[in-house]
Amino acid sequence: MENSHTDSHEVEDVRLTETTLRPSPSLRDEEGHRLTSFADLYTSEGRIPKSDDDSDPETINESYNSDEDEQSLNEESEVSKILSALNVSNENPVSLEPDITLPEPSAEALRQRAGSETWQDSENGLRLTALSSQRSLSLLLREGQEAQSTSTEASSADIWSIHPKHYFILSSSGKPMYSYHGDESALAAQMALITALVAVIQDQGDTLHHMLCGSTLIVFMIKDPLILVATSRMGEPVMALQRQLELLYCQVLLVVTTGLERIIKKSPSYDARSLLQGVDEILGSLIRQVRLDPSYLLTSLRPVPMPASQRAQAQQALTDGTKGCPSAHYALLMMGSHVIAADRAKQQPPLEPLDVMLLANFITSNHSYRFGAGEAFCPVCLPGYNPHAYLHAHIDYLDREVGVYLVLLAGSSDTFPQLSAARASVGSQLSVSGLLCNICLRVRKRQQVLETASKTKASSNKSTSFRAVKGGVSASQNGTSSIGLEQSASASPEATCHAGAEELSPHRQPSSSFAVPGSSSSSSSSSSGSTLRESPAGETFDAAVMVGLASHYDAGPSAYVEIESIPRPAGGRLGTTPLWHFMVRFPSRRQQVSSLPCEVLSPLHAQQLLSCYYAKLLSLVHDCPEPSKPNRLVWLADDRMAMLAMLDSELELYIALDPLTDETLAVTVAEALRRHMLEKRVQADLLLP
Amino acid sequence: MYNLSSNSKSSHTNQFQQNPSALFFKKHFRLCLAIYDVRRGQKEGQEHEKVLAFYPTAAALPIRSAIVGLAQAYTSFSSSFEHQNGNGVPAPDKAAVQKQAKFMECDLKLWAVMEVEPHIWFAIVVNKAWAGPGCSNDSLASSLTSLHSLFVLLHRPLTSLIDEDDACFFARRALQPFLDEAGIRLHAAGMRDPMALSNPLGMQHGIPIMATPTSVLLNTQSLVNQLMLVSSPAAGVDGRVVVGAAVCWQGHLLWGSLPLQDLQALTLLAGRALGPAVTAAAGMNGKGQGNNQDPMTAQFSESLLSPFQWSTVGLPFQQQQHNQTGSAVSSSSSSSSMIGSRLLLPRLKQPALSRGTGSAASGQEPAHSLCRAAWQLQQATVPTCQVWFQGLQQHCNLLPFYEGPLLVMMLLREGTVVTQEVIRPLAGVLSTECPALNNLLSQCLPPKNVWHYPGFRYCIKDQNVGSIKASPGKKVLTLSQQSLRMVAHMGNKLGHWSQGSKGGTRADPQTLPGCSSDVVEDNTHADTSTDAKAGITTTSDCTTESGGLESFSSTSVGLPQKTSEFEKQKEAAPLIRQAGAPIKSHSNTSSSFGGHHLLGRTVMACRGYGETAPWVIAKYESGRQMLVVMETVPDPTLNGMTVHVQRLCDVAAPGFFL
Repeated sequence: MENSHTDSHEVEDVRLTETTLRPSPSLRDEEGHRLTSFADLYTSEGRIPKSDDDSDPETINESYNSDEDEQSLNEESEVSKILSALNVSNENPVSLEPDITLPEPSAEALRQRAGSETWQDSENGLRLTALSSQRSLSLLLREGQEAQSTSTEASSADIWSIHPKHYFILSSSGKPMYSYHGDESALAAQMALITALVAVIQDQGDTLHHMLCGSTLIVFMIKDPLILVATSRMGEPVMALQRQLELLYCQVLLVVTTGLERIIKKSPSYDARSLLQGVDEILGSLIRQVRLDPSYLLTSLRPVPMPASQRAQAQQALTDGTKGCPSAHYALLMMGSHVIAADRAKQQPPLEPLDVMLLANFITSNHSYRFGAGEAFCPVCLPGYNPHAYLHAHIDYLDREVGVYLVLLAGSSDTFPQLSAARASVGSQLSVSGLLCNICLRVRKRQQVLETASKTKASSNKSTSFRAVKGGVSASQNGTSSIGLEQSASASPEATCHAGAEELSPHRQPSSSFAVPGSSSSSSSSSSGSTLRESPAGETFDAAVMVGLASHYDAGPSAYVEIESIPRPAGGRLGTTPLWHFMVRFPSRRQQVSSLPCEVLSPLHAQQLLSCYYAKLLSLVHDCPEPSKPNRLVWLADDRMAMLAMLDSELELYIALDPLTDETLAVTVAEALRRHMLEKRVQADLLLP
Repeated sequence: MYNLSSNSKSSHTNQFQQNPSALFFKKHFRLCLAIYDVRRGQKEGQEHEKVLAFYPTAAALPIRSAIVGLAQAYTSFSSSFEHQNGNGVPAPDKAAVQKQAKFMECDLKLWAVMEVEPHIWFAIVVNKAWAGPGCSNDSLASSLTSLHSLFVLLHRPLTSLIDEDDACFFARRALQPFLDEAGIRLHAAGMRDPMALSNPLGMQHGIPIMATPTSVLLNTQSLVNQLMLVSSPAAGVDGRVVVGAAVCWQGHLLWGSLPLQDLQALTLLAGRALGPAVTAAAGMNGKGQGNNQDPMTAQFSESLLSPFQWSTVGLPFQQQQHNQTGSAVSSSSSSSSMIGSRLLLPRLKQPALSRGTGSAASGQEPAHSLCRAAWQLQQATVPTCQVWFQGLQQHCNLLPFYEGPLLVMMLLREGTVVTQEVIRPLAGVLSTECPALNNLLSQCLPPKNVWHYPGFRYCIKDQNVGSIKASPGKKVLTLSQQSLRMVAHMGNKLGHWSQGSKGGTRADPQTLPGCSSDVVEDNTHADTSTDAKAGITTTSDCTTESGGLESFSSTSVGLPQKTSEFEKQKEAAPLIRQAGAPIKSHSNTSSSFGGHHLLGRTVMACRGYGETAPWVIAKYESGRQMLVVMETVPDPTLNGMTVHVQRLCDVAAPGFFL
């Protein structure tokens, strides 16, 4: 955000977006208003039903949320008591119900944008599709699951206490915009309370940071006129939750720019949820990634490790391909959230790592980009580049199975033909040189190796193996079952993460299958037996987890360094090693490399824990009066893990170790790893030039 | 409707002009204290009724209501995210949750609230800039806890006070001066003050129990036992005069026969009032330290928490005897006369009947018969301070005695009239035992900075028994701002993460389909901590029944408490080594990452930026916590630091950390 660049000639303001999104003439309603998504065909009131039928989504909610409504009333009475304690009931009443107001023209444009409409190239020319239809399907699945779970829950109040983590986004006037758990419309009372707290403290000339109540931490981020709140009972530090909120905020900006803030400032009572339809899946995906992948805590580009010669080829292909397309500002060849190669036009500043991370999440969380018919073209706002305007992204998956895709960013909306031609050029160069095949082959090979290993382990642990759960179901329902288990784990982050990280309760985790030290297989299997069900394909969940370790890492295992590939003094090669996982950040190059977690950390809940430990470690490193002067050496050890951070001007090293490792051994391993990472040959293979 | 969009800088200026709360917090705000009852003031317009006491008293009623309302609101809000069981009660035991402070941090202020008794809350708000970088959550919470302990000691539990009086007149009358005194003291507290908020390694976090050589410990125990065996016909049915006793030396507790919470309250009183009174008395050669009071402190010296309210004027009946005989005291009462000048007696206001007559001041007997009878009664008894003990659940009369830096706090049975007959046997014990014990202590302990180890600034706390050992405040003063900030932050993190491991959350995995594994981990660990707590509770009960001699012996010498968790550790430790596995749970129901903290061990070491950066080390192990700062380390590597800290552990708290 600090480096905002405005190109008045090419980068269009949000107000011009209406002209950039040209739907087909037939897509107009009775009053002549443009309809830019299939969802708009269902209703001209701008409300997108959450199911394929025409029923009102609120009605659907009411059908299984009657208990919630009753509880909501009770909550409101509680809240009104608290509000009266705050003395806000008389002079400054806070609305407990969202007002329904007509969207303004610019809001209309944003709403169209937020509906994730995409232009797709097909044989018949440009065709408008709506991600909202895709969203409807996933929403139905999710809501169905939630409805089942809701029936077992005592009341909606339990939402707060059951889930260890919550995220809210609301406007300063108390309008709920997003909630990670539960329906945000049912949370109006809680939102009003948050608003009142923030407002009262602001009236005192202060700003609310966080609350700590036992193990519950509640962190606030006030981005006027938005309020973002995160709560956690998982022992995460303040800094980690602040970082997550920052990511959420920027992800919202990526979709709607700061135009959203202007609209809310202009009319505080505006219900901004209509602008953010479709964004909740993107935010949900981001949250799941953040919870599982500690790399998100370090704002750095994540290159795919590959031979330097191949990366140079890819780089050359990008440069040559975009040479004939001067309107392309940036070109990114990516796999998941990892960058294979990147190129930028002259006079353009380097892309902010944060922008790349958010853009990758935006693309990978929308499955229509990957499994759709063709190329996609949509406006995106890169907050680090310019939070007030859109760039236009041309997105195309070069290999849908492996998940390699090309993103071309341009400032103008009428550059689709040029970008499409550039894409074709890049694609052909990559194909002719065989680079794409090489990358895909390498990925598949590693996945096969891991799959074989997992099957071997699974066969040796038949007594404790679990069967696949919702991941397989959702994958098949999304039409990806033909890709196979391998892809369902590695290439469908939404499905696998959703199934693994969220829907799996802890006792379903297949930890016992991996000979986790100290684990008790018998108790785990007995406790989970009643809750697990077999997938249609009959795959074992062991394999799914093992193959991808991927379930949490969207780019698949080949995007990470294997601990076995590093020298023995640093913990690699044959024999036992205390090194469980590492992350290395190169501050001068703003890039980072991380390893695949070892087998002990392969279960999803262990990955969550690893992420939590890294958050603690980073908070110890960076919690200092001057951010430019972080602590140089941090050691954190307990019964479950030992962590070490070593920082200097060349690199920042974060490692997770066996908990029985003593300080001497940890420092020895870290020093060896540091020496290895500072080798130019290694850096050439690991990092972007 | 609230609209934050209007809260720009320019509008802030207007707020300060219009909003009294903003004005209150802006103008020289340092801290405020509040005590409120959430059952009161439920109706609109009567919110101020819930405020029982508030500091500073200059704050207007709307400001008090606004601050208390905000504290109540954020408490309720944050509580909604805590895990609750089916009954709506937070899962860990309710008493523990009640005593759990809730914190809120803003840009400029720190808030802490604690439910000290059911429905009764203490709150503190401090200016971050004033409190300094060393102000930690632990400091704020400890301040609230100690305030409550002291109030209960000097009065009674607030609940009983409030229940007796619907209008809360008596409660307010007791609370307001108490809070004023506490507020002014916190305002003026320097780093040396045990109550200093800015000291993250302060002693206010627990009972400073000093380990002594066995011979000294035996002498101390002997003194206490002899005092408890003293009998007098004036003392009631069984003739026992002393219900309990505690012995302090330079503000550190050596030995006590009371439950831990009572010992903590007594030690707080000794640290705040009796210790300084002893020092002042020793410095003035018994001339009486309260005669020339500082005008600033005189305004809050009404409470017995002030050293000025304790005097060493001698026993009244000795003066009377001396006046009557005009000669030296007889040999039979020589011991009484010896201890008479070393008893710390509360300064009581002159009775109205003797006021203005001048007879009391002159020592002459009043002429009026009624006045004469009252005067004679007054002259025949020793004034004592009545205190309430939560552990004993009874009132006692506190009679402190000092011999050099040695302070003996005797708790006499409630209703005991301290006459010459009561004093005489006590004097016999004190005159023989105390000088010898004082000499022993002077020989084996340094005269000052008892717990100082050069190169280290540290604080070792055993949460299981509430004991603490820390560097002297004036040594902590030498730390840099960076070190203070680092250690405060580290302490906060340790508190937060150990809270998580102590079972702040509890969940039933069978009924929580969406919860993460960490909830289950916390759940399982909660059981462990509850077990440990149960162990302590049992110990405390034993203390109450047996006079505390048995159970306290392990804590006074710094040995690990024999909790059930400790026993589990000992049993589990060999298993870990045998298995060779990184983690081994003693529970068969949890895996390594789905399981709980077996030992509850956490070690954090952090080295700041720069060549002369300090090392801060934090350890947590089964309720025992240590914070160490080292600004100059001969070997500034991680290994060297570890060795150094281990040496400190071996010297300062042997056997504390496994």
